[in-house]
Amino acid sequence: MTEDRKPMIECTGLNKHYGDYHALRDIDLTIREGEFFSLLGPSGCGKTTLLRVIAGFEDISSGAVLIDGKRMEDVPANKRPTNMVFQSYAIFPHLTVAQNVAFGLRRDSRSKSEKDALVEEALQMVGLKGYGKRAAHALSGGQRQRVALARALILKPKVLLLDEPLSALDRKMREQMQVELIKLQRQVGITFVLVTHDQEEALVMSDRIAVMFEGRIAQLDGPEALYARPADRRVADFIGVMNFLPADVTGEDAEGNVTVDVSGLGEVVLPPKQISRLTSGDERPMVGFRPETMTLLSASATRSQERETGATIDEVVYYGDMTYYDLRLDGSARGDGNARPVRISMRNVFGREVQDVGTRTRVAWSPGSLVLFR
Amino acid sequence: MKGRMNGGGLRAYAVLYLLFLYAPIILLPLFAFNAGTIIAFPLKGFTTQWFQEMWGNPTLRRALTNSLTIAVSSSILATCLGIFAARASTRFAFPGKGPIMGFIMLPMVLPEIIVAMSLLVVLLGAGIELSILTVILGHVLMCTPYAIAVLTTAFSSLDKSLEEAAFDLGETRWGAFRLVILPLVMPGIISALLISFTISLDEFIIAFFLAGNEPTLPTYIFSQLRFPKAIPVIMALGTVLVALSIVLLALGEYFRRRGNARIGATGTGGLV
Repeated sequence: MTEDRKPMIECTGLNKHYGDYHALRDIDLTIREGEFFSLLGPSGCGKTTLLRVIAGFEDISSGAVLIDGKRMEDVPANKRPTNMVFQSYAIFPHLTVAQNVAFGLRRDSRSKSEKDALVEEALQMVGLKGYGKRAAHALSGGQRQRVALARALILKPKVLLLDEPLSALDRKMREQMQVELIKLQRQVGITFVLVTHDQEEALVMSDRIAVMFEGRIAQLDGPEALYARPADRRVADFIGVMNFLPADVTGEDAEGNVTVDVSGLGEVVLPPKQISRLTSGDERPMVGFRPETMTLLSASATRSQERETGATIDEVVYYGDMTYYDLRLDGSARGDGNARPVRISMRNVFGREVQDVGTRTRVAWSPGSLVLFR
Repeated sequence: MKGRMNGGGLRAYAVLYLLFLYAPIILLPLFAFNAGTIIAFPLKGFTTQWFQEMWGNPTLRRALTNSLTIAVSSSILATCLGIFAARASTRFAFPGKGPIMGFIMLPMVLPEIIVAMSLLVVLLGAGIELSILTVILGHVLMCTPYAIAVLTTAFSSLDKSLEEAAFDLGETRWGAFRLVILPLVMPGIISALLISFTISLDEFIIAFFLAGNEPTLPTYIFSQLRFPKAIPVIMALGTVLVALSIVLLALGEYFRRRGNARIGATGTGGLV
């Protein structure tokens, strides 16, 4: 939906070295105007470094960064059209809430009453109306976060940079803030760039996500594409839960359809869109599927259109709304002495009973939900 | 053994210890207001004569002025140098940082008499005349490590992103330092000033070596101890100094606590 918008941030051939450490490797990235963009990856993958490069806190070793079409090499952080929400929020503890929010307006020529009005408006936007006179150090984590947001947004930046802004909040608060951030982004319409290590958070909030490993972008896609068609095994493993079964490629036709013999599932034909783009070298091919794409059949279930496989329940993990089952698929041990059980998830809808450990059961699945990694 | 500690012996020890520490100091005002010239019990009666004599003594007033000049100058200088060093050591990484900081802190543990002697030799060799200026120089050398120790604690307890946030919000680097860092380390700065002031005010060896003919309070007091007649006046002077120290310390602690309460912090580089 943001395909046609103009580019807001363009990184080309970006490299960053800290001494011998290669923090960013050949980053090419375009973030469009009004996009909610996430940089996702494990700690040390370079996502925060990339954010700080965009903010102007880090120099780059080679390459170029453009914001709104302008080269940024010689523009320091205080002159860039970006503002940042820090992981620690960096609220100035010696100032009041209003003074914190008004901090960036100090160099603005507007009158005091105009500034006060802007501050009040910003506070209202983040749901802190009437908090202006409070001491900033006395706020809760969620309130500090809102002050940090108001303080950055009051300057009407072209890009708002968010460095793991929700990691310090408890789960309930985090989920609430996720929704509020999405709403806020739609309301102000500016580009948000979020750094997070929480894949769920990235999926919930972003228009597009760049998954990073070891200073490289491994995949750049929308949330659905990222989840359904991971580019390689590492991305698949990092985003959500993915089961992997060893597979042997037995044939490939002219259209690129590949026939594989999957351990425990048997022979399937997979079209090109279900085959990962990147090859992982000389590892054995694997077929992956998400826990929710397999269904545990009750004993009385009639045969469906889908394929069926017999299995034994190895472990049951009950989550209230969901139950996770670890299953040993019949025939999966064939030639794979250490075959791991696969994990599937079932929603605990009305009338569905939780099954016991050790039960012999059947699972239904569809070749359409498999992804081949080779 | 019972779960509760029986502190009988330890309590006596604590009381004796405190008595040993403070009894001599309590004697100061006692004899400062005593009418007799001999420092011995029984007390002869109340008088403020010694305080009047002290105030009327020109050499003593000169010593006091000198000492205050030296203490104020060297505490300000040492604290400024301390701010630079503490900020550099907490905020930046640079080659040779460890050894450099080590050498700056060394005067804390060097025998003062060695420092004073070598300074004297160097100053005389360089043909610099001894004055209160040379004492200030020596005191800055002595006080800076203490100032750094206090200020490093204050600086290192700051979140690095506070400064970045100010910069990100459009301030210049100096603006970010002035508006955010300085107010937050102010309690540490006040502590550093107070510590340096106190160290300089009662420093004897360097003042004795480097002051030339100028008296400072400690050297003056030392010179007067030879004259039994002067002792009550010294007692009066001591009383004033103790009172002044207590007031200063209390003031410093008050400002530190108020500062901390204002930012919701608990203790950054305090004295007490």
